[in-house]
Amino acid sequence: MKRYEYMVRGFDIVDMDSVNIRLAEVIGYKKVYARNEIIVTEDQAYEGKCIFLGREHGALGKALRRNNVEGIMIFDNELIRQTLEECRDNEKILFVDISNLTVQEQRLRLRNIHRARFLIRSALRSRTKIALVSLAKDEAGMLSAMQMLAFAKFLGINEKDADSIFYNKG
Amino acid sequence: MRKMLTVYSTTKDDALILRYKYRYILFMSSSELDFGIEERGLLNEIMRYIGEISYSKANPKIAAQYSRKLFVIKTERSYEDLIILALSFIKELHGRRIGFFSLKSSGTIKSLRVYSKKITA
Repeated sequence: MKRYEYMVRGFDIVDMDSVNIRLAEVIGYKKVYARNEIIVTEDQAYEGKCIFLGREHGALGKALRRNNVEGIMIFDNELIRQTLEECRDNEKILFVDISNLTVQEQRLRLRNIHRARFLIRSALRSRTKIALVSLAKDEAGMLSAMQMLAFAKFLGINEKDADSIFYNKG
Repeated sequence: MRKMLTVYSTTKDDALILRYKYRYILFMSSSELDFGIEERGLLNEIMRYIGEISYSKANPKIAAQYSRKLFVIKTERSYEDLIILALSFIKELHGRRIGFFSLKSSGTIKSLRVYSKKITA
């Protein structure tokens, strides 16, 4: 079993206006991006740096060809195989939202976990680059780098690849 | 899975003395905790997520408390991942919103004490 050591790993993205820099360091990230730095949007005309959130292949496919889009996020972690292949070909990142896996309602939580596992398994098979992000709405919803690794393993990513699930800018 | 028990020493009669090996994990909470009241609640929440069988095998205990936010959980070493995951799922305790962050894990409690001082400094 791999032992965890304290080291600063990749980046995280949250859905908050500002982030406590000290907290971000302590929980093991180089930086945590707030809403005003990288936005998750469904707006196809948005011109800033963003992650595109979509539910259909048409819109997601168009977004993947744009330069300002860092990567895509599929609504409710639904599996769209064609999009995964296009994501791999365009060298974009598939972001998986972890915040909906920790919701309080049990049935919803189990459904979300099942969907995320299925999506990740398919993405790994099609060799699409994956990044897990917390997208926390408050400090309590954030996860440390160690917890993110534990989540990656829980969702079916093997220990070898688990380190590469952090969003690494550039 | 790693061996839960490790051979500690042998006696003259060749009877093995076995001991459990533990892992200590340093956690930080997003808001202050009153361990006198909330310790049992926290352990119950862990049991809710990992189940009674895994709970009895993992045997998690709060081993130390360095401040109202920093504390250490001691667990059987092959269940370390499970405990980290269980605390990631806990977002509510005694009706208030709270989050837990795992910071470091170690085989000895002493190194965590040194690390916790580094964080609070």
